Amino acid sequence: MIRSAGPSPTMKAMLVDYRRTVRRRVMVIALIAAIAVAAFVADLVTGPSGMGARDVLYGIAYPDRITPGQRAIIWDVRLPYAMMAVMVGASLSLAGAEMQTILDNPMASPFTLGVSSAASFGASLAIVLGIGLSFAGSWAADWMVSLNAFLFAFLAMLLLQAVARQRAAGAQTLVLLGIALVFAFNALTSLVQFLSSQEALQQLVFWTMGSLSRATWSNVSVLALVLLAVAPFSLASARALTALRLGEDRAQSFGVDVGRLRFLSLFRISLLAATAVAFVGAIGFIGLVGPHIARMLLGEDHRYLLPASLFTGAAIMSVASALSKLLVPGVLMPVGIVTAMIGVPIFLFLIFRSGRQGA
Amino acid sequence: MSAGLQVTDLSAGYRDRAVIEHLSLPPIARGETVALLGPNAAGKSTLLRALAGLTPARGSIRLDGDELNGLPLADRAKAVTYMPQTLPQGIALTVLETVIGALEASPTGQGHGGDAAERAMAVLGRVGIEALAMRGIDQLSGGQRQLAALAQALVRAPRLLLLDEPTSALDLNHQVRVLDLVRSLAREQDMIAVLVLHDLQAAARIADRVVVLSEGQVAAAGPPEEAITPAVLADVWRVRARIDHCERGSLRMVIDDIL
Repeated sequence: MIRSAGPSPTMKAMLVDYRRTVRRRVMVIALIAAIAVAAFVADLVTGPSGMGARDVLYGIAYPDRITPGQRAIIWDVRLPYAMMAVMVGASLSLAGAEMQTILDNPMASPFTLGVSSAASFGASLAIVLGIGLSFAGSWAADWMVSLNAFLFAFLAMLLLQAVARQRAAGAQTLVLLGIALVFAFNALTSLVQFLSSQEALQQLVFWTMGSLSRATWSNVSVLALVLLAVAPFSLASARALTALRLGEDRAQSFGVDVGRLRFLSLFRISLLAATAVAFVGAIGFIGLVGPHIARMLLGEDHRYLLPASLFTGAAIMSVASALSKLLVPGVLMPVGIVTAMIGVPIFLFLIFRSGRQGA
Repeated sequence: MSAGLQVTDLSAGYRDRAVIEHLSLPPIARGETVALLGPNAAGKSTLLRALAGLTPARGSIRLDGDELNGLPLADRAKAVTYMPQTLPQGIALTVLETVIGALEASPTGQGHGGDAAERAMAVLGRVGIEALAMRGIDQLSGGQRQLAALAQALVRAPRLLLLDEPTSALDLNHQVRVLDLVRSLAREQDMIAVLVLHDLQAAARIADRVVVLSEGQVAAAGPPEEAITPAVLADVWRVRARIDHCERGSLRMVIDDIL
């Protein structure tokens, strides 16, 4: 234990500064959460039906005082859609934040490293095989699709993990492997599409364009449960993840079991990314951009970075969802197109910014 | 039970190749600073990593009578801290946050009492970089980064501190500063410091004892003036050298040529 005569004026000033920074961070997280809520409401009150904000909020408060048509729009479309946007954004962004840390790669995300492509391939296989089975279209077939998406996402993760463990493999190797995975699984998905029936093809197209249109109360609840189950474990690992930023050997010497941390973290990421992708298809850039924005605002103390990433992802996704309804009036654009349109400029900005820093 | 570090019959290396085999060290007392010397590939870093538990090893590593080998990382980390050569780049953390991060990564031997920020700040003060506490770790110079890394290790209050070439990237002033600080902290806190060094003169200046490794074996060990001799330099490093001691007792080495 370091003993000293007591804190010097500089030390006291620095501690005051640090405590102010911590309070500011909590405020920033609260602010991002408030923005996410506002974006959720904005998403909720936009739509092709022309129901205004007042009608929608009134319909939520008093569901029995509106017409059945309005009730169907609000309770079966707008609410599950908007909630799905929040859950997907939060899940993908939290997964991206953890992934960037455990793979020590700022460009890591479920999308850029091929995990979403793997999930899409798993889903297409299940769709094509499931169509031939007697329970096609049933509850069981839907779950088989999601389960298979999860399985393939997890396999892609294990492959990335195996490569990440090789001492010689740097960040570049991982990114290259990720690109290889994206192309390989996209090609396989195309092959399945090429060989599949007209009926299956319609469902398969859903996977290549991320869309919230299959949001239902039951799959929103499943994703919410997954997020609720996983997020506390993510937050519990925050300190170990922060230590891992200082280097693997150093973290181990501080008592962090890095192998275990990486495995469990990859498991959480697979669960979040694969469940999200299983319900809405491949939605890119949220998992990359969400954590980057959170990191720029709050730094890399994961106690703040992880919740901030979660809320940032939710906010971006809700904004994207609202925009997808507004861009072409009367037309519901798949939200995956909008997230890419928002995400690509931010992504390029990040690349050029880090390029200038020589990082 | 005896205080200090006892390494007996230690073997470690890679899966297909042992780097050190059946190596034993003379007992090291608490408060001592020990320099591990030797040419490249002599096994210095492997020995250090084996002591840290980062490389699997067979044999016995006893610290104050307790066997460390085979302990889970979290338990070992209560007594031992390892400091790699350099900090990675591109970390968006302040100096103080990295030290708090090191302290809170897992419970330390000293318990978790007291305010983490205050403890971290006290260590930054001891290392002399308290004014840099709120700076981004990426904005520091090489020397300042190494002092920050030292603070991260020290905040865990280890009984055994392992440093892998802590001065390899530093200018002369920072080399002296870091090494002198390590030695005085070892004495002050009754901690054993083991450093891998390449600079024999610097090792002779700060180490209570040096261990010279060659091909995974101890070639010489003892106080610097006894262990660093022309014969050892010829045997281990294949250089012809003369060694004399200046009036303040520190060692001066003149290299003539390669053998």
